[in-house]
Amino acid sequence: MPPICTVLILCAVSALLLAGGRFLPRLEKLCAKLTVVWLAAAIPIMFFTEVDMRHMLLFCLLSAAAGLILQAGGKKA
Amino acid sequence: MTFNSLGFLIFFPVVAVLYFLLPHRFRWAMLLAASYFFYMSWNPRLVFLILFTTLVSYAAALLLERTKSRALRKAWLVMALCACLGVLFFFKYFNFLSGTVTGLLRAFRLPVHDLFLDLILPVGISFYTFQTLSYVIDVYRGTIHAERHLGYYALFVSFFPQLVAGPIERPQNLLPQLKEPHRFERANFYTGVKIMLAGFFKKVVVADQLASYVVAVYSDPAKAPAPAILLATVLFTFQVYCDFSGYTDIAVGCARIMGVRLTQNFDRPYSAHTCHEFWERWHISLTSWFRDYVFFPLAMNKKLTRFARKLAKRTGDRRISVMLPQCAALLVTFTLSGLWHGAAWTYVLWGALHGVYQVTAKLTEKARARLWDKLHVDRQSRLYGCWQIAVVFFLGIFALIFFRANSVSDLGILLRNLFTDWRFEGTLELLGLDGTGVLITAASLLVMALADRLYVHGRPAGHARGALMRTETAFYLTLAVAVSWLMLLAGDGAAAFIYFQF
Repeated sequence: MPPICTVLILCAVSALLLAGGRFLPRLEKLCAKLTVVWLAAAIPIMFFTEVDMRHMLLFCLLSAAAGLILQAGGKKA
Repeated sequence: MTFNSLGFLIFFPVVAVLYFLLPHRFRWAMLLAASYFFYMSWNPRLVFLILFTTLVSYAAALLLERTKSRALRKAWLVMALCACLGVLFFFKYFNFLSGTVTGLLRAFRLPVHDLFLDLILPVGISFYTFQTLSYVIDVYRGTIHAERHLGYYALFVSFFPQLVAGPIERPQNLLPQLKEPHRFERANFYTGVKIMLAGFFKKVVVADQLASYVVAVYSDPAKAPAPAILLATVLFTFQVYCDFSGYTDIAVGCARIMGVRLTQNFDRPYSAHTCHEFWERWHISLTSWFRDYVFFPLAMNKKLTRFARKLAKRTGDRRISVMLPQCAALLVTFTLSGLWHGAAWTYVLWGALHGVYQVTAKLTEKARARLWDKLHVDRQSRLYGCWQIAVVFFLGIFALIFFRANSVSDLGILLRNLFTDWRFEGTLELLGLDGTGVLITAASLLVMALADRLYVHGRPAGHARGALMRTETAFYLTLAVAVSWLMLLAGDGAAAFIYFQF
């Protein structure tokens, strides 16, 4: 699989977790914990799938952007 | 030792821990020793320059306060200014001036030898010199009292977070804070770490990434067509902002951990609606310095205002009496501000161009308002606001070509290509941008812009306060990972900050 696809799949999971925490108040704490765990787990996944440094950075940036966009979206659900 | 070196990541925690462990009466000595150590890590001999400037301004302020005679006070002030500015001039501008003079003489075919001294440019000399000047002038004006404790004063001049690239602090703000017995506070610690992390992100992830694309065009301008120059300059616009505001964020964060609140130096400058507003948001500490110590004294100069009034009477145009002193002061202030940035004609031209922008904006203010009214444009609308932001951004980009050009001859080539060579093919290749590079650049700029909008000094801005705070953890963790990765990669070869050379 090309590295960009790996990165986009991993980012999609990050975005889902962030969105879960953002829009489902009951799952807020769980999703937040899972997000942190996911970010920590994604790095070894990328390492073993031989994703290079630049794509790893792209993953970090896209995840951060997703988090910030959700945060910028207005009031808490 | 730069902020983005691994050495600093050891130095700062040691200093912070010692700061809180030591009793209050010893803290200034420890901070002063740490600040001098930090400064000497570039070149140990440079410490004599900062010591000289410190001692001269300290003694001058005490003498100014003791002296009653107006003439003598003026003499002390002039002597102190000459001594401090003399050091700055010699180390920063001597070779520039001698090169300009010999060049001029050669133009008139006069036989002259080059007078070039092998001088090192002391890091941050413009910053701490301006800080000492504001102190001496304020004591002269009577707005503050002279500091009697040499140790605290020396610490005010050399406080390591803001020593080499600002913010240029005023004595009224920094001196009292250095004397306060700060306790370790969790809130200050977390806020400080967050601000530092945002600064590291801007510098290491955004600015250093963009630098490689910008260099590709500006190192060989003859090969660069207009679209490549424009794209490289747009990227440079963000590079210089992230580099400098990143440095300021790290400085503000370090000081905040120790309980000291430094001046805000940037406030989303690229969302300014006018050129005037841009300078109220960009390098705020320098702009306010020039406003208080150069612009106001010039604009209110008695001789200039008298001359303007006479001219207004003679021509019958009342506006001249107000506009002439203001416009002249604006042009001089911005040209000097350009010269402050660097000893090269490109910087002087950049400053002067910004002065021309300001003067033009002032002179055409009413005519522009009339034009928009005639066209029935709602000047309160969002669309008009976006148009204003775009115009200011474009003018800023054009001026930055002057700022970034390596020499005046390079500037000539860049401007010629900008107006004549509009080849689009191979633009991205010339900059060294591939698909992943474009994505990384776009994503990093997006994160930077969102973070700037959502966080003000490490705290969520008003409209984001109710939002999910847990997301913040993930956001900062992600940033930390990206930053630490790149820092480990860069190792000792970490890129220097652009504003260190000023």
